[in-house]
Amino acid sequence: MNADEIKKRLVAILGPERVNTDDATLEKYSKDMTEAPEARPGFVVFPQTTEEVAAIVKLANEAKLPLTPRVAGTNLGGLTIPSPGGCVIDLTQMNRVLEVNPSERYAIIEPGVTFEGIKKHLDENRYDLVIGYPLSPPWTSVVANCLLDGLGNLSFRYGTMAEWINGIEAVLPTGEVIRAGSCALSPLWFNRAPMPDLVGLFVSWQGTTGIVTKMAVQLWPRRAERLRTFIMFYTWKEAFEMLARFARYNIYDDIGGLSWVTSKLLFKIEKPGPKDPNEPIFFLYLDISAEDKEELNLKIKMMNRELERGRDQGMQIESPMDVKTLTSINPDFDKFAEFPTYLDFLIETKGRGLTWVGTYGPVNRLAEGAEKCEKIMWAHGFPPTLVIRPMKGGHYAVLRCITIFDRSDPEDRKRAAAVNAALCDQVLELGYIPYKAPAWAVRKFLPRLDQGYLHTLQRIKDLLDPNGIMNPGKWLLGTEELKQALKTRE
Amino acid sequence: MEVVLEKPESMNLLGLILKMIIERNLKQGMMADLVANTRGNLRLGAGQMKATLKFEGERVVVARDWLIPARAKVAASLDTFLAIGLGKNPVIPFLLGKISLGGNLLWLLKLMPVFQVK
Repeated sequence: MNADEIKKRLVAILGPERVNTDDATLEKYSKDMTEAPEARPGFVVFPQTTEEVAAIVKLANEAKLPLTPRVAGTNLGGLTIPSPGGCVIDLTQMNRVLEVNPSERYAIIEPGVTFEGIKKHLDENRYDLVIGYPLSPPWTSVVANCLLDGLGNLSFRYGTMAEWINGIEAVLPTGEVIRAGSCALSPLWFNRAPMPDLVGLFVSWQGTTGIVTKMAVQLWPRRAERLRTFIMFYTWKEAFEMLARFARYNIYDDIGGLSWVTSKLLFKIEKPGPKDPNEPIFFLYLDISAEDKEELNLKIKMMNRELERGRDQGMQIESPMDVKTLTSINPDFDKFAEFPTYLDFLIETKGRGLTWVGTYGPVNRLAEGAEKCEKIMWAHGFPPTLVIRPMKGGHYAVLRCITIFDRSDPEDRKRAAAVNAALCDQVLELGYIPYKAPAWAVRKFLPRLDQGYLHTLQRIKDLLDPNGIMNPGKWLLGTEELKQALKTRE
Repeated sequence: MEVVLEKPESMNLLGLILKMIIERNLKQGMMADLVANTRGNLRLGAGQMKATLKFEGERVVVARDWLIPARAKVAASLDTFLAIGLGKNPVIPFLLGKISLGGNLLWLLKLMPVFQVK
């Protein structure tokens, strides 16, 4: 089927105004913020219903047309860069909050619902519920972040956002629509158990197994009192020792931290040089919520007691400072006060390039990981912006190394790719695993992957997507490279 | 009237905080007049971080480390320094030995409001 015929068929499904093939649109959808090579799609379409998505997918099978689902396109793994000549399914017009269930505490949403959108819905309708927010811009998709195993400000308590999914409706790569989770059997979307968990077929598969058109995501009670407080540390070792101690208490909503570079960026130093050895290295933050002041004060008392214990053991720890205090020194700290937030200092930079190696891994290797990654970033000429957080009560942790670069400068893009490659080697060595992994990262850890696991992944992909149309190349699924790797290892 | 960082890329957190506070304070006419009529170096220490404010009339230069000569000096823990920066009266911490002052104290007291958040 040629491009004209495909366009005619797409227009028959969606109407002419929701099928775009103009140069400006195709150019916009050919890239993201990362160093990933650009690829120009042939079509960009805007479905509004599950039926329209299913019709597009059926057509794509007929035409062997690669499909790439996308909402904001702000992931840092090049995951929404399409196949050349393929079709981007922009899901931003599927942006309805379909239901909020206050007793079971979940919302059923479409993929175009943003963090800003769901907050507005919950606030305007006076629900006594909140959702967790990532440190990504307010216009990013809740569904996409859940499906990509992203995390949010409640992840210390509740784990990755994928763990907050109660159920989904999805269009399979062959066009059938399925439901997974309790909604496959019950009118309520209350949980994934006790059914065989087919939701997992869509989590971290990067859009290679279908398009999720509805999702039930868990919400949590809104608490009356909230405090976000920052504590400065002077060594990685002491910072992570205290972080691990805090993680043992089941009283915090969130524990995490940012390397000193972040503070420099907030003071508008675009390319900070090496740190003054006398200044803090790490800003640990704690989010505490409570039903009333009494509960809040008790939690603060417990926090201070642990800090005092650390000081008695010789740790150099500054007194906690709440966001209001920091904001009175530097108004830009208000970006950490409310969610969803827009960290413009990371994005609105010269050339607007942003990339990372984001990983999940062991809590007890954070200090070693941070020290080694910091050295690698300096060696490549990038100030080390590190973001760290224990997850799910401290069972594991997030270690992210963020690189700001100039996308318009080919040399800077090469340097960004090189630092990511070096960081990836290092974190893999320490037992961390990249999440939202770009194809280049998968290529790096391919030789380490369990053979049976890899084989099963490819078999599932072949079963679900016989024509290989769904987001080709992501996770290297369906590629000759992966098939070759499987053969070689056999 | 401007506040300039000497070697911004390597400036420490103390210097950056000072720049931000002083810039905001200089928007008030009286404060700008005070600074315009001031000359000399003021050394500041917060925790182990050091900075010097160089009052040069039409501009204030923030330098990392302590420069010699200095007309006055003030040093405290980072906590105490920030508390004073946020408007706390420095007399009580001084009496409690939490803050160390030296040099021309009258000059220092006159300048104190310049690096306190209003």
